[in-house]
Amino acid sequence: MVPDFRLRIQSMLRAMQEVVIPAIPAGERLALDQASIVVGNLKLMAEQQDKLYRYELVELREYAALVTELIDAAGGGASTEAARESLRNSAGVVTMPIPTQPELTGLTKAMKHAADTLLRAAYEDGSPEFRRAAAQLVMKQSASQITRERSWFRAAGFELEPESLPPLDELLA
Amino acid sequence: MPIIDDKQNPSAEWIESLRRRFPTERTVDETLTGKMRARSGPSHRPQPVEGVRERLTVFLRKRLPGEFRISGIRPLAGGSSKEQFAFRLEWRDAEGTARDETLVLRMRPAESIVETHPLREFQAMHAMRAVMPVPAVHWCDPDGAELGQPALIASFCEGITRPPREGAYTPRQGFGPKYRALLAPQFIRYFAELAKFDWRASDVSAFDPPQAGSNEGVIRAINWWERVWEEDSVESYPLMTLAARWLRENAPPIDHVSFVHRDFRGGNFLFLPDTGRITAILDWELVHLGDRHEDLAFFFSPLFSEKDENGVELMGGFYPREIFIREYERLSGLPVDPAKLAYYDVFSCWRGAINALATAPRIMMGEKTHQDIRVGWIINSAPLMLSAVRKALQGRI
Repeated sequence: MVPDFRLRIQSMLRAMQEVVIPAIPAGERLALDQASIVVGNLKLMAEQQDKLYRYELVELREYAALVTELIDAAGGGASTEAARESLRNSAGVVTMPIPTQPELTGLTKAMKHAADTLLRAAYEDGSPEFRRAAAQLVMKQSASQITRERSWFRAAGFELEPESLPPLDELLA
Repeated sequence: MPIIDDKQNPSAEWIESLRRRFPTERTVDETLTGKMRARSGPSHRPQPVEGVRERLTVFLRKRLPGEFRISGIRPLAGGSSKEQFAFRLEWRDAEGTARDETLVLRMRPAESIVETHPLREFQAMHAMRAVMPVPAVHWCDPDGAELGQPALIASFCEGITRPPREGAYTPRQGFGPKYRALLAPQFIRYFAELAKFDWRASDVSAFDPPQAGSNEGVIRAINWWERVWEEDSVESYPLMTLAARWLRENAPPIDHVSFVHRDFRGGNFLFLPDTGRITAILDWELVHLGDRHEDLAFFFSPLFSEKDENGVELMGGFYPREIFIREYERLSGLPVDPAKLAYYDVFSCWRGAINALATAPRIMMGEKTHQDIRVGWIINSAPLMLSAVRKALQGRI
């Protein structure tokens, strides 16, 4: 695809930094503020643009594993059992053909919802063992998700020690 | 073009079910219900200055005794939540004295990163002027019946929020050694004043004050934010559910009910660049009556900490954590309970993550604010807030 995202973003950055921002009068602080954020977003997109699909695949794989583990651990009252039964099919997603990007996004979203539904059921009427297990499984999964998200957004400048985060390529391997 | 999902067109039944599930303060309920009822309405469009002038003129004609003149209306930069215009007002007051002042019109956009009730902000600002520099508040249009959107009008204060620098927004102000030395002692003094201020003689009719010794106010606050999560979230995040459950089950009683600003930090006060004198504490929109530990925990979040020239981490860019706590206790005369601080570490970052992870993308989807691009930038802070939530929960779940 020509021009690819990288090139288009690069040209947008040049236009913003070399043409648009210098043309904004110094007193126009709202316009200058928003133009700076546009530049920040474009830099972030330049870093992320070729990794998005892999990112979503990793997230899907991880949530499929979480749902599988939650189903295995589930036990308790009617809500928990009903949630477990309805989610059994979700685990099959790992054997599906490679989806398109929108399908992949939708599947990941559905998987997140599935895990959340079972967690809520655990707190409603799950057995004490399941409730504990569900909490621990969510804590465990969230560790890798958050590390990946922090690395994904590193270029935005919110991290105090961005260099301490693992490289995105390593996390998406 | 707005992006549509089910939550962009909420049914009346769903809105009512959220109200029942998450009972909270009257004015909070009013605000959130209004937001949801208007959600399927039009996107935000920039307000032409002439339209602002016309509405202001009608509004002020009802409130000023004689002739007046509005001039120099201009949009203000900064802030993500409210649309603000500065203007010059020349008028004669009730005694016939000529007045000439720059004022700020602060209006809620169609939806905001923090959906709040202007009367709460108005009352808290008015009360807190007794103990710290806060812009004088003049008028309030709580439901937007006259100004088009809920709004308040306050005095304009001179000053800057941070030393000049380039680059996109971050919540770290980069005060550096010079301004740190000038600002930190003032800042912590006002922080302590906020906690010890006796609000009982003030007009707090827009608030439902919690009982000291009870956790009812904490539960109401959890309901507030969990309701926002349900209204705004664009996808599930199990850690957020886990945090909400933990907060509900471990809510501690409030030992001393204070005004809690909820965003008391660098970037939300103005100072004079030549002397470093703080001229105004801003952004009172999230204020409620609650536990001072909430303000401390939010201020201590990793989003605002900076390192000094020797690599020492400074809370909010001012002091190391233990020094800040010690000085805060001395100035306020109130203890800092480590267990409550740990509880509010979870609460504050969970609340911050709701704003970043749920409300920010939600209002961008509906094109509901004048600051979509800036609000979108805030989403990038969500992982750091979530990391802090998880860290604070570790060992407690």
